[in-house]
Amino acid sequence: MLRRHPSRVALTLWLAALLLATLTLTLRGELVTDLQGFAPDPVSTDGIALDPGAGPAGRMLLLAIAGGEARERAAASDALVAALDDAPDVAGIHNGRLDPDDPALDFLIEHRYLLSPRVDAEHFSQDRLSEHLEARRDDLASAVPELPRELIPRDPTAEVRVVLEQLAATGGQATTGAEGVWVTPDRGRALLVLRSTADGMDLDAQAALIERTHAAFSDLAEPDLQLQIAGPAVIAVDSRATIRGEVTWITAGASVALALLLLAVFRHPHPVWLAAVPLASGILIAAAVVTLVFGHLHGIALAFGITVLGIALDYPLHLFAHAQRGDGEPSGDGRADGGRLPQVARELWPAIALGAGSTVLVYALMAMTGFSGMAQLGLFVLTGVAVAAVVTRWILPTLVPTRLQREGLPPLRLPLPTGLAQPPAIARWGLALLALAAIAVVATADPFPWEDRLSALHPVPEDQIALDQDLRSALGLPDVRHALLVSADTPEQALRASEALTPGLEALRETGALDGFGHAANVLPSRALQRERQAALPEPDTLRERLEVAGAGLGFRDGAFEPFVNDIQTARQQDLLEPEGLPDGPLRNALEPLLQPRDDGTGWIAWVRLQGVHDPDALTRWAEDAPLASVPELDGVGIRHIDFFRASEELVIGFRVEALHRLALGMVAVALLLLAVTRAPGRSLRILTAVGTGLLLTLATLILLGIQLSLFHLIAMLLITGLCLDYAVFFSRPLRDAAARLRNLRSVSVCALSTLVVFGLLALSSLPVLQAMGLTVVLGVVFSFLAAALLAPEASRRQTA
Amino acid sequence: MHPNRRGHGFGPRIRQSGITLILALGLLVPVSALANDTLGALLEALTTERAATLAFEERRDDPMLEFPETRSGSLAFEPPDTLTRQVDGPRGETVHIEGDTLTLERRGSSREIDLNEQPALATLAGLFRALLTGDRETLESDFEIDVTGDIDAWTLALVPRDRALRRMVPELTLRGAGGELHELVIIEAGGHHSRMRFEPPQYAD
Repeated sequence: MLRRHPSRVALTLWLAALLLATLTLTLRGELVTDLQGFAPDPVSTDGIALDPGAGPAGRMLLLAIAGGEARERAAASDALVAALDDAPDVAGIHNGRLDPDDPALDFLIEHRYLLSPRVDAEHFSQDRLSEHLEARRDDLASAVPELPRELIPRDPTAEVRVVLEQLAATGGQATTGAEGVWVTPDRGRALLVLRSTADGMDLDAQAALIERTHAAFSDLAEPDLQLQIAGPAVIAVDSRATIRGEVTWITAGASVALALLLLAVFRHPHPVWLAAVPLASGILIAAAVVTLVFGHLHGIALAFGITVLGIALDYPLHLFAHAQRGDGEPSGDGRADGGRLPQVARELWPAIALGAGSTVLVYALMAMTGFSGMAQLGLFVLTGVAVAAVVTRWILPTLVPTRLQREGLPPLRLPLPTGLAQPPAIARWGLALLALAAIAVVATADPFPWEDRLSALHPVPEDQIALDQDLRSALGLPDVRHALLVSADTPEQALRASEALTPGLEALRETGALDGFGHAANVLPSRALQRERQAALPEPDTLRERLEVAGAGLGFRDGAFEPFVNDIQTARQQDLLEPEGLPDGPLRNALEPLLQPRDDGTGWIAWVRLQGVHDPDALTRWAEDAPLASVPELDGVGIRHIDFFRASEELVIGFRVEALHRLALGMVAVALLLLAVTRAPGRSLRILTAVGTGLLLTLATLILLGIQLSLFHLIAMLLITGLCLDYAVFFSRPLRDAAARLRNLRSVSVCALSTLVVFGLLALSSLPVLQAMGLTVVLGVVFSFLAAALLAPEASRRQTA
Repeated sequence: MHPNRRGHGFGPRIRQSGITLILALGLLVPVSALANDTLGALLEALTTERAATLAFEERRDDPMLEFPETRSGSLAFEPPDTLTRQVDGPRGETVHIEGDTLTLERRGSSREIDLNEQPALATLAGLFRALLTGDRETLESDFEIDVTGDIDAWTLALVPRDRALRRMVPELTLRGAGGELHELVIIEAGGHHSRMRFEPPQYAD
């Protein structure tokens, strides 16, 4: 029974596969969207993610309130802080206003002698105290006291001010406006900094937070004011939303255009929806397979994969184009073997299998790389292509309604220039010349126009970048590009290392390599340093004696500084501060972005923020030159200069080099496959030459157009390779009769046209990324088609002429 | 017992200083046409476009000091917004405010302060400008204002609305008679207390 109905077996298997795939995706499907998962971590040896969004700057949203009057802006700034401070996804929001009743400030005052960098034995000497008391006496008489008079009894050395200034400097230095909140230097906007609990590249969480922030601002109902939000996460979220929106309308438009094209060409509705069956099956099963193998599916692999799977649309089109009735053929051919379409499918299978097989081979090599994202892409495409080819061969014919199967499709309505069927010899010479010129262009392109900046992949509007830089400099925030990374076993080690780096960093600043720096130990000194400071504090009686001498003749009442003596005495005995025991407040807020336990719990990392890095090479050399070697206890603490842009560039370059490498290997493998299968060196050579020429011409044209080649161009080239293989395999089929050749030409033409429609729309996109992809594929399709057509075997043509 | 230990637990209002000065400057304006009990009328009377100089004597009671301190000095105003406060004596100083810049001179050295970076000073400078220009809106949004008495013996009590400033300067009291300012009392946190007595203004024109 089964043998008599092989199509039923195939159909059952297909439906079962689709069901399993759907189940897999429903039960285990996990779509990952961060960029890091797509490419390997450039310093994975340290286990630290080096995307700019992962650094201390990545979690920050910079907010500005514009419009209205200064007073209204300040009120809105306060209201926004009140509204968002307790939100679960907000780690902290600050607008520069100090809450005088905040217990965290009392905590700072109580621990000022442990926190102040000025505290050493010399600091409380007789001479220094004399200077301080003289200044405080002036304060008591002045209209503009240097230190608020109420603090004088407790803190005559003005240590609180030093601690607060240091804290403010580490967290950035914004201008405080007349209303008491941060403002831009021109005072036209109020500024706030929001730190998210979520990672900077967790785009879903960031998008929700941005949304929440806008909603909180709208709730203030201040029609005159506008809220501006900047930060790495905003750029990433915006570009994702823009791409999504644009992709949606382009996909819709392309689907309609494609359907209309197919309807016009095939003059029958069935091929239109049937053409989608192999592609859809391929996508579904490929997604399930990748999910099963990798445990998740990366969003970028899915998007790129679906693009590259565009080849799979060609297989059913070949089938339908070949299944047409000849112009003079009567409908109802009535073959004995049960229908025309299965017959055509059988006839076309060697060509389809060869094209699909070659593509699978290329992507199999790509799937076997260490790059998780690329491996996913490779596996996705090879599975999808294989599934689509098999579905076209065994499933599609059985899905076609019986009547249509029997009668075949109406003749194609596809006027083609006769030159294509009989290309003049001169056209081949022209192609050869063009190919030579293309080789010259590609070979002489120096430097080769690769686009290495990861930022080039984000379609970010210029004004968004300008706003980001504007607010960043107004808030005095550190360089987003450069930082030093300290990795240690314990927080104490990380803090001690940060302290030990200070003299070297100071020297770098003096030579002009950088403008400034700030690190975790500026906020919270190591226990060792706190202990040193405690030891430097004088005993109560000694201090009283010195105060008496220092205050002589100044008119202070006896015991006026007893609160100071008491505070010093308390500080001498108080418990040392530790990162984990800090209460909520400015100290903790400033420390958390700079000192964190590692995600895997194996140690701690501390960041040294750098401002105005002018000589990154000097910084790298210094960091590599073991700046901690003189401190034996800090053996094993790692110091590394991180250039976030460079790190992401290396990521892009690494991906590209690997992809090109795999592509080259793949072409060699394909050449061997073609030779082995066709056993015709001439045909194999034609196919490979056509593919090579198509790719070369596309590449040369892009270079001549002055386009910087990004990852997206590379992905497009991968698609072109598959398309060109397909065209060349079909064009090089040794066909004897003219009708068959014409059908062949029409078949490839339909495929090329449909791809042109889809990617032509993409080329119209306003987004550079999609435009790059569209333009490259359009060029590639045209050149591949021409190359494959012109390289079609002449001999067979003459035979049938 | 140390009376100055009352300062325990206060926050670091570091950048807020110069209270006395600004208040004194703000009240340099002659009070001439005080209406019965409306702030509007009072402000109208305070608004001036004339240059004037006002001599004063200040007495400071401070828990840090053994003895109260008494000094004399003068306040000068020049339209539209230039003010100079000069104090004589061993710890004398000159404070000059022009626009948003405050210059402090003491024993031959001088220091400049941008009022825009000193919220508390700026608020008090705003008080001064509001009084001079009759800007009731700014005045009322920065201070709770209580006017008592009549034209022959009036009292203006000001309490800062900003919490940080209010913790530093809980209360300011101005007293006058008719168009003349007689007295300014400032109570600061920590028991610092200042009382300035003014002599009648000398007009430049």
